[in-house]
Amino acid sequence: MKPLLHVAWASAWNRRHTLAFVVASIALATFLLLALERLRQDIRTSFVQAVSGTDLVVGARTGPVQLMLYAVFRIGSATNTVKAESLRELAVHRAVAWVVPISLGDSHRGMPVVGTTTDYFTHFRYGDRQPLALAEGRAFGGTLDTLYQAVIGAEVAGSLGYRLGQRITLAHGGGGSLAAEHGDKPFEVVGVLARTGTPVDRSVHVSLQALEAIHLEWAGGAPLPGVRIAPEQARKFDLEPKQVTAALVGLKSRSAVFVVQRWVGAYEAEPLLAVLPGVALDELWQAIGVGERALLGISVLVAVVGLLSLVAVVLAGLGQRRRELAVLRAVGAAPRHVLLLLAIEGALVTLAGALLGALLAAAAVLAAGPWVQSQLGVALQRGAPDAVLWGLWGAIVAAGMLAALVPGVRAYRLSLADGLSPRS
Amino acid sequence: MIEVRDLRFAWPGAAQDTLVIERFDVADGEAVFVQGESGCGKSTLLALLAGVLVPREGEVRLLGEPWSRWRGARRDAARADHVGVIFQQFNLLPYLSALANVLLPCRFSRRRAARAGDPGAAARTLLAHVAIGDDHWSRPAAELSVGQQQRVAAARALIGRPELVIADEPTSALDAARRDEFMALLLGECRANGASLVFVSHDERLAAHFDRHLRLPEINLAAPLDPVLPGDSSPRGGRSGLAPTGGRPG
Repeated sequence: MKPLLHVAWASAWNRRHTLAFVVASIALATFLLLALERLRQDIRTSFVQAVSGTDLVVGARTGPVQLMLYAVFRIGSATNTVKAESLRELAVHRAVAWVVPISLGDSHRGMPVVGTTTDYFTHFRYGDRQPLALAEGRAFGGTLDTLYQAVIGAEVAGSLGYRLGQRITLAHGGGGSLAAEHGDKPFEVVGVLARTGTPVDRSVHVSLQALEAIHLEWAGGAPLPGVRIAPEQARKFDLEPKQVTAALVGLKSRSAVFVVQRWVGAYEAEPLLAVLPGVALDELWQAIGVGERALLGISVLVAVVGLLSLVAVVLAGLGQRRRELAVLRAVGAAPRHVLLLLAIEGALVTLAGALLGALLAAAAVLAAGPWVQSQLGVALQRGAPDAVLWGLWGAIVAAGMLAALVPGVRAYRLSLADGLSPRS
Repeated sequence: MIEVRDLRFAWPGAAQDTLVIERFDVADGEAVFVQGESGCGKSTLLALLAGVLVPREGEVRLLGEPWSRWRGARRDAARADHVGVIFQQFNLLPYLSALANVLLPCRFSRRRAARAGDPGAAARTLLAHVAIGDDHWSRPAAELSVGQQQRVAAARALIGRPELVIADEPTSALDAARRDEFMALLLGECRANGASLVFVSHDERLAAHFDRHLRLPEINLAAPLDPVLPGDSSPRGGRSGLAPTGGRPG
């Protein structure tokens, strides 16, 4: 083995320009496979961590997945709203411990705005039932005096460079149009939440009353012409919301979850839907999982193409290397040495490609992590690869070594047939 | 050194035997010149003597051992230990230095490495003997001239003092001056090491350098015999077995 390593390395180095392309193709394949798997794992983690400790999510009747998308992930919008009165009835159900209403629809520089109550900061859980924590400042007050206060997620603070005391304005809807700004009623940032790795990080939290206040002179999604209500004047209006987008519900006992779910489903005053977050997340993952598996399949195919290119290049060069193999046979190399030589060369190339690909994937996670966090709300893990990633990496290396056996076996046969002189 | 008995060899798929040799011996320290035209089976004979190929029938013995009957791995190990090979051209691994090429047999044979003592020093001594200057030792073989490559190949064949050196038309790519220089060098080193030499070539002029001169068609019963040419004193018209046909007496 030892004499062959030296020869294999020298031979591979001699053809480094050709093999560099093979290394590059294997590196790209490895990069794709590892980066996609990392993304897939972290999206899944982000999903799993998005909400916990909430027994039911209640909204207007729609699909469970759509309800989860807008209520938890703040993606898309609700087709209908829930009457505040309905939630008050739900809150007094004997099995219900707490109800946290949320109101969505506005935004700040592309970040969703969540109208809610101070109970949100008490009851909301993510990950392994972790409560929200404030990195700086405090929660908004929830009184008329503290009406225009906002608590921002870690990503909002990080990407927009906001600190406590920052004045921000909200935009009606998804934002992007100056005409839809609620510019006359700015909010003060009074709290910054610690990072959670969930959509909370990208959210701006204000009170439900504040949302009512900034929409007083609005109707049908547009400002009423000629109507201006100053921020201070707004405090004199009835700011209790009549409708909200959805509600997070906690139960006194998990065993009552289906009872309450049925109660919500049978609620007569308006059509409502209650979903179990875990079940809905699974459904959501199933829906997303098709694309994710397709991507994984494509990256596996890319890896196969990369390894086939290794086989093709080594096989194509074999004709020219028959003299080299004859020299090795003449100095005492056995046919198995010839096979090993080609296998070692393939292993070296595969290893170099796989290492380069792994480094590329790690660099991409470091470089693209903040962008992915801000655009997708997914926190990419920057730590050491886990067992699955190591397994994938090992599979590529093993497949490369197996693939290298193809030209190795061909060389083995040629060396047996050629004798000391290659026969064409 | 070498004993060939009732050898028959056919390439896979061939309708008839390429080589049929009843008897062929090479004595210890003997230098034998085997002459034959292209395609008459010279290289095949060398591959059989080197144990790279095995006969369909019959036997090749090396140092008294029936190595054509051995398993492949044992033959390969024996070749590494006892045989040095020089080709017509493309003798060296082009990406290794001259020194690394000379050291190759010692990488595959502990015996050769042990007999060389310090293989690195032995390789440098051999390179100096074959007139390769030390400024060429570390250069990739591909950068050497054809003549230099052949001399490096001779050094590689001789390192670790193998008992048998086989050479397949090693002078065909050399001009006359280089050829004579190379022959003197090769024969001198073989004699100094006590190695037997089997040298095949179509160039009859080289026969004078050797202890014995054979024409392969005369011992290969599978080959059609050439007609006797006018002015040709050699017994081409018949098979002469192992009788010396020219060159110096041993």
